[in-house]
Amino acid sequence: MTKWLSVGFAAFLIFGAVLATSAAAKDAATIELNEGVLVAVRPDLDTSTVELSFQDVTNGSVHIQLSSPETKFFSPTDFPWVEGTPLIDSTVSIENGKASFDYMFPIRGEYAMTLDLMDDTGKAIGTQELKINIHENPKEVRNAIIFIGLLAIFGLLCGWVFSKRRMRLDAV
Amino acid sequence: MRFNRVAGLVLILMLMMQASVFAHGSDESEADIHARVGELAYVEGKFDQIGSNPVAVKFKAVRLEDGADILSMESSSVDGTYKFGMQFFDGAEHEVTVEAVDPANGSVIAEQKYIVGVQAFNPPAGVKFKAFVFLLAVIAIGMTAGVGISKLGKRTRYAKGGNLSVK
Repeated sequence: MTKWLSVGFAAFLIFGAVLATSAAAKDAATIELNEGVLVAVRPDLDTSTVELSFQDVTNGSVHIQLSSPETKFFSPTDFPWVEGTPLIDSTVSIENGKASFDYMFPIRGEYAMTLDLMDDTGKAIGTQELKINIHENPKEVRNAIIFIGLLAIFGLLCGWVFSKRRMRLDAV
Repeated sequence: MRFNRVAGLVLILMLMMQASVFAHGSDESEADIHARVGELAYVEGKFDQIGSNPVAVKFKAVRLEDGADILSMESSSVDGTYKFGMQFFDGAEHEVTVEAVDPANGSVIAEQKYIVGVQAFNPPAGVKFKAFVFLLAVIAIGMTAGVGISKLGKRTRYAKGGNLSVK
């Protein structure tokens, strides 16, 4: 009985230690993104500043790997070859706990960004993944709706005119 | 015979879509770096004669056809070497500028420029086909509605005492 209790206690300790380690690892690379600015960015039109704020790193560098949104069967974008491909693979300096880069996002969708953090001696600190959401240009959405609407009206008129003509021929 | 005509029209439309992709063109013969849409291209090199002190390295990529800033970032280098990887998503010519900057006073110590020629591709055939089918379906739905409205109008008119001859 005592044996089983000690085994259970040891398992509980190990489980707790694993949880605490993973939580600490996550906290070591707490990164904030300026999502408020990025939400209004239009793809292939606006060059936006992506700002990364690091709580626990003052000086160092971050290796950025940015990937484009995955292909969606029912909504292709302006650059189909770009979907689901790597976009950036570079290292950026961290100064006073901040790093930034200016980028023109090519298409709408959810971008995946992997960040490998290094301190000022080049020693790896941790890795974190972030998501960036870029919305479609509202003008392009409006133009697409107008174009599809005009096509539907064109079809409707054709159907109406041809049907009327057929009725007249049938009447004869 | 009628099917052949429709098939020919579809083929002409597809070829027109293909030609429009290369409207802005990209002359790659003069380029220092050759890149392809959909793949990463690496800009790497070394600044000579900048001393032994660490320098800040500024990278900037500009699309030449409209002067748009595609990517700007800053890194650091101890021995003057640099390496930046990015994808040029538009099949147009780009200019990349890499500057070695003195971190103390911000003055530019050295500068290197590259012209990047980007090979463009047609949109995948699957995407073109899907777009074609979708637009055709919109017209077909509109046409069906048009025929329906026409028949409905006729039926309403003849219901008041006329002779309905619509099949």
